[in-house]
Amino acid sequence: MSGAAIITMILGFVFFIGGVVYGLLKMRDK
Amino acid sequence: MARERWHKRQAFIMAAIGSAIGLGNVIRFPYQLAQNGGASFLVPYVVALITTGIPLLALEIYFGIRFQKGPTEAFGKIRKNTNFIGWFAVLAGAAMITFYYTVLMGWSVNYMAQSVQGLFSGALPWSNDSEAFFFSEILKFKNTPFSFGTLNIGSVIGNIVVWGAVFLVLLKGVKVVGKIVNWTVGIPWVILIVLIIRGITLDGSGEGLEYYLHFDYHKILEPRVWLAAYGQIFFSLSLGFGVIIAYASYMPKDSDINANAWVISFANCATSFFAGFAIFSTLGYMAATQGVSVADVAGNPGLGLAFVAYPSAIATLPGGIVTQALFAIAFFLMIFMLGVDTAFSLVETIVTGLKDTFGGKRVQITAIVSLIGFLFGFIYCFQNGLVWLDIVDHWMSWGLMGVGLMEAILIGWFYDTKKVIADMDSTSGIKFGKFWIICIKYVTPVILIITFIMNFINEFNNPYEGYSVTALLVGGWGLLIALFFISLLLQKRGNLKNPGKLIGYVIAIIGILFSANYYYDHNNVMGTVCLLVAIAVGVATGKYIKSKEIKEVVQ
Repeated sequence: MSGAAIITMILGFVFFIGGVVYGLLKMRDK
Repeated sequence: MARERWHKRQAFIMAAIGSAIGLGNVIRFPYQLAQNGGASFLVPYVVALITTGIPLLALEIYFGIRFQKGPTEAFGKIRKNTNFIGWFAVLAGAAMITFYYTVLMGWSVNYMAQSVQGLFSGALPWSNDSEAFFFSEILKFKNTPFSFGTLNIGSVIGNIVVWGAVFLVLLKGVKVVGKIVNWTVGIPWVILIVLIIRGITLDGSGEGLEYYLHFDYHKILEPRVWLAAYGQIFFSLSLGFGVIIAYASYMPKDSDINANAWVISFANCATSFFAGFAIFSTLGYMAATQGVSVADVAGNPGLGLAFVAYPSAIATLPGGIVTQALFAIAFFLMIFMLGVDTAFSLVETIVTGLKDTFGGKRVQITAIVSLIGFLFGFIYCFQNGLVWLDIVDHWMSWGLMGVGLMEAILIGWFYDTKKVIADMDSTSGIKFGKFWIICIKYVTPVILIITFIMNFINEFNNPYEGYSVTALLVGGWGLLIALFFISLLLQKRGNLKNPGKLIGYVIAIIGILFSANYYYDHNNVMGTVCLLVAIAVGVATGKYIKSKEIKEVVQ
């Protein structure tokens, strides 16, 4: 695999999972 | 009577995620990404997520939570005579899509049964030729729209299983749905992780992932790629179905709108992104074992991936029949579960819509909807079922985009957006502010209108999949337009008793179909003339009969 693909994999993981975690942390429906 | 509620607030998120995550996340997104620039596609995809996906999803949640009504009643609270938008979402989105979606789920039930059988016979039944197995054994397919052939009993049995599951779960309302979705969302995620781990540890998986995530930055400059990204986001998030409005209407009024929209959207996109790892790592392995390129084994996006390409790859997995059969069962169980909670949400939307507008008991409405859905599904259980499934699927996506466009325009241009966003932001730790107004008022309508125009031109220049124009007029334009006019009729109960409107609408439908036929013949002048005459005659007839009725009443 190329470096670009590996970087995308890591960035994608951080961005999408990070998005879910951020939303949950900011949620007032607890 | 007090409105039903989810058994806890978090249940709404899981149910909405279950609705959003469907087959498309596995069979559509990875291909969209691979074919539109690989990793670079993520740029327009993320922009589309932030500028249309999350804002429109938040808007639909707002509709449900604020008005405590499903789609058939919520729009009317914004502006008079707009409930037809909700009815159109229920009919063209929820109903028409569920009726074939359950048949498709039935195929995955068939594949699970065939996998178990394979376990005992020593080989998966599609191991020699997966394409022939799908089309000849499972579907007994005939590409003849108007010659139905024989009834496919396997599809009927699968359809019974799926509708039975949907009916039993929805019988007790969203409280039960909220508990079941923990499993129907959780199990596919676990299976997906297993498939990813198995996939990336196979020889050749690197080539598959390289095909999936290669970086072609030139594609970012192509408008077509941006439209594909917006289309993918729009259809993937269950927008325009009325589903989110219906589900959100069972949430308390003080619920967090923005963060719910945020979490649902990101969870959906994360699932799509990771599904690509499972798919392309395994396809990479298959390509390596056959000595061909990944593009050669990947085929085309759509059902072929779920029922031909990926099963074919599973049949080549190392470890013998036990491993292959277990992975096949796991994969089709994942497909089934991804689809079944989407089916719950679609049917629940129809039930909520009917219940909110006409009243009645949930049990009876659910039973009637399930029976009608099951019977309607028979159309897709004949040998030519795939043709109609394909046509209806394609045209109903027009309906979904139409609903999305109408709701964005309704709120953006005919309502106080500042009031809406102030209300939404007050509920949440995530603030959208003016950015949301710009997205709803300008970005979403402009993108959807451009997509409409480009698809419209393409539709008449290249008749869909080369099917006959008659089939496209009947199952495509005819069905879609008829559903739209039925939505207009259902918006006011008096409409059904007004012969003027009925006659006017029938004339309009016939005229529009004639004009579509002319457009397919590239006779644009006649097409436009026909369209204008049909609308004028339709409106005039309606008004004339209505005024005559009023005069008679006065006399």
